[in-house]
Amino acid sequence: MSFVNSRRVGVFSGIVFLSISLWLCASVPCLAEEVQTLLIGDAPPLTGAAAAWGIAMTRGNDPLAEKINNQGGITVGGKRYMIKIDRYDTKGTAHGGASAANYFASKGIKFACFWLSAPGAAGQPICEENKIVTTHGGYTRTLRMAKYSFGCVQTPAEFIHGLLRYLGQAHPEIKKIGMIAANDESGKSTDQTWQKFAPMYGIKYLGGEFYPPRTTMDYVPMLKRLLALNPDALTTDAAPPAEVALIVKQVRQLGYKGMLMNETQTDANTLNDIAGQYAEGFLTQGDVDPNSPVAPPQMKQFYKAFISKYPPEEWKLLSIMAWDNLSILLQAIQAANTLDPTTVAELMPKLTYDTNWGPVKFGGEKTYDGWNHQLLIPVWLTQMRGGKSVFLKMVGHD
Amino acid sequence: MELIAVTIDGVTIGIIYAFVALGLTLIFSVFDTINFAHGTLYMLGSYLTWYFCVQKGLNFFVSCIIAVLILAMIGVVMERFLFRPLPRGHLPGLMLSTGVALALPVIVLVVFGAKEKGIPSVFPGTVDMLGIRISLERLALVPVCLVLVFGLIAFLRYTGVGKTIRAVSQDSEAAELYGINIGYVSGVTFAIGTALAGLAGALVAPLFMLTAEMGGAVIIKCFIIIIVGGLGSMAGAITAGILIGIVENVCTVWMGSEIAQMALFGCLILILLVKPRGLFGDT
Repeated sequence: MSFVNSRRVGVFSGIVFLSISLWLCASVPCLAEEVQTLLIGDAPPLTGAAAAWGIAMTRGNDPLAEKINNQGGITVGGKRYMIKIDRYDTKGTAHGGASAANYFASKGIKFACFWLSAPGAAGQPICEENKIVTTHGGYTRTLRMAKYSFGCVQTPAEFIHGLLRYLGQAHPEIKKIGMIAANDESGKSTDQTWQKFAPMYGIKYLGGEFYPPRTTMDYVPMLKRLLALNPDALTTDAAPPAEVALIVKQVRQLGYKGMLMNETQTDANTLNDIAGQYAEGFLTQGDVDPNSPVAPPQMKQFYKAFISKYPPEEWKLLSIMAWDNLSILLQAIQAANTLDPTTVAELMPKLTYDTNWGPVKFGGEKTYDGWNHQLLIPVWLTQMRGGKSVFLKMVGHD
Repeated sequence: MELIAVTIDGVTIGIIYAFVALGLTLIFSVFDTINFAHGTLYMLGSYLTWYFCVQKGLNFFVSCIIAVLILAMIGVVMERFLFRPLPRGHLPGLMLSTGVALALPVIVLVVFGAKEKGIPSVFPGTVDMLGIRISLERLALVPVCLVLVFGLIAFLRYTGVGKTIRAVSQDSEAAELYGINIGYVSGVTFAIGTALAGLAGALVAPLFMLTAEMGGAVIIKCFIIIIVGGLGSMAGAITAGILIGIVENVCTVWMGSEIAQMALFGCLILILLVKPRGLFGDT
């Protein structure tokens, strides 16, 4: 009896062993095909004074991650990866930027998107030390001198040449330009750009008037100081869209008749909401109406995706930027076919990227003393006319 | 002439500061605590006005009235369910209101959306007086605010409810002994205080842009105003509000905005050194 039982146990054990072996053999290819997760760090300001921009940014990279994941993710080195955005709220502060970088490093994240100058600059040394390839949506020049950092937002240094050439042709009467800007990294860096380049085009730069960032609502006293210098044109560089719109409203209410402009992207929605009729004639760049015939097809597609998820009046150029910054990282990873950050960072300046603005490349060696990690997007000059942003001309880089 | 123009600009802004500070000082005088959420209630006043005016297409002034009434109701609810159950003293109210001040902007972002808002100009155009150009919108604020401020003062001085508020602010225990319903007075005071913040927010909505964080900068200035004017003093809040508005404007025009910010805090330090209880504070 016990013999029979032992035999039965032996047979049973054999069957079990065989089954497990078969299952293991069968599952080895499955394991090789297993979809993994690629964490991408994202460091926008989601609370605090810059929260409105941060939320607009998430509305750019979230739809892209969703679209890629719906298509089955990306393939790198024979493995399939789903994209997961690991977000850290910087509150728009330097302290928040450093904390975000430490958080990404502690989680072993190797690719990240940073937003705004102060958080980006504070997080940069940590990202560099931990070899985190970072696309930056901030202005300051300090972001633009490192190996793993990529400047993905157009700064005045990129489009000032095109703008000044355009002004020379279309508005030769403009000889003196003043600037009102936030008293922060972006404002000061923009001031230096104007000081450096305006004289090259025969323009006298009257200097900048700086206001406390993110809290100022009354620009009238600063504007009065600027207007006392009789500028032919005023630029609101380095100010975010809503602040630009409020400055436009207040300076026009003071009776200023000269040209008003901003080269750092604002949008017709915000200008209409806040400045209303005072926005007429405002010159800017990048504010391309996604419904207009000149809008690039990629932008039209993104706009469709955007309004299917969010209210159309919430459309902001910042969302386009966020989509592109993540897209550029992912395109580079796929082209490099590896997750090694050094290989990806070395390849990035050599590639051409498919963006909302069409195909673009990195460059900027001349402006940034040999550093070629600056994205060079064509400058789309637009002007507010009758409450709409009208495309004027596309101007190239220097 | 330029000095007059800059001073008028300063008065228009100062009177708004004074208006917000009035509500803050009124609540302080009864509750003996600083309501840190006051700036966010100012913001809420702007947002509600925008909602009724732009989203619902109502007249701006009707929108203002609805916003103020809603804010007054919010004040009653806050007082009854948040502040009244708290133990007496500065700290619990301070902590609670700080929590409300942090939470409200996030709620506003979720409810009204992330995009900054604006209300079209109610009085577009400018007025030229003796070579000085002032926006009509700003100028219109001065008489409106003055009427409201004097109305409030008259209410506190001559009406029964106003007198009970003053009695409670002077000595709540003695007032209670005289049969004054402290709970009722607290509720009314909070409602008036929040309504004032909401009204200030509503009035500036066409002048400025609306962001969920717009209350932060205003509340700092209000603290300066009520300290300079004297904690709990109505006359102090009005005088200091206008004074701070003028100092800020004049200093910015002549010395730049960085110096103007320093000048504000310089004023505060100076007043604290010379009159520690403020210009109109009890000695």
